[in-house]
Amino acid sequence: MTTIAHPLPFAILASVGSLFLLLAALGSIKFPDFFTRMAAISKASTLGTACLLFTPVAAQFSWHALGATFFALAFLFLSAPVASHLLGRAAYKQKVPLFKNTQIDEWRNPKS
Amino acid sequence: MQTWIEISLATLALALVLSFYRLVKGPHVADRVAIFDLLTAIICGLCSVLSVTTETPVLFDIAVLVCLVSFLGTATYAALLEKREIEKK
Repeated sequence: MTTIAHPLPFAILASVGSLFLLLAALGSIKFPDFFTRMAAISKASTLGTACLLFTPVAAQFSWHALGATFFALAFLFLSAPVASHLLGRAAYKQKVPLFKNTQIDEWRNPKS
Repeated sequence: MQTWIEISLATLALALVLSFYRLVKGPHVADRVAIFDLLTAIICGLCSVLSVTTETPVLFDIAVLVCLVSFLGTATYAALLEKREIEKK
């Protein structure tokens, strides 16, 4: 097995990030509705990917890996909310069914 | 410490399996596109963990590229869904 320069931060970041990705997958199975699933997937997967992208820098520091990580993180934090918003809007226009106990639907009746 | 790394890899594999379940079952196209986003996130994380444990730095570049490309796939599918809605009217 290979030797890792700083094993403790690497193990903590890998465990936390994979736990958040597992929570995203669990949410995608257990939630009743497309839009609630979408919320679970987009938020938890962004945080989990951010933790896991830092693992090479945490294991062994190098400026190359740090630069690539910050580039990827900046693009991820800019693009993930935009992508989920685009997909949610397209799904609402396609009349994907809402959860049956939905209380507020501001697009259909703005006064509610 | 080794056990924690193996536990995190096993957790990522379990997340892949669970999201594949929704990918097969998903009642609408939008569900499958959202799950595609999650799958690319999991593969990105798996590549960056494996790049450390197997000492292959190329895998980290692959992780960054997968992270960048996943936005294009989701945005293209969302635009396709909206366009299909406009053509239906």
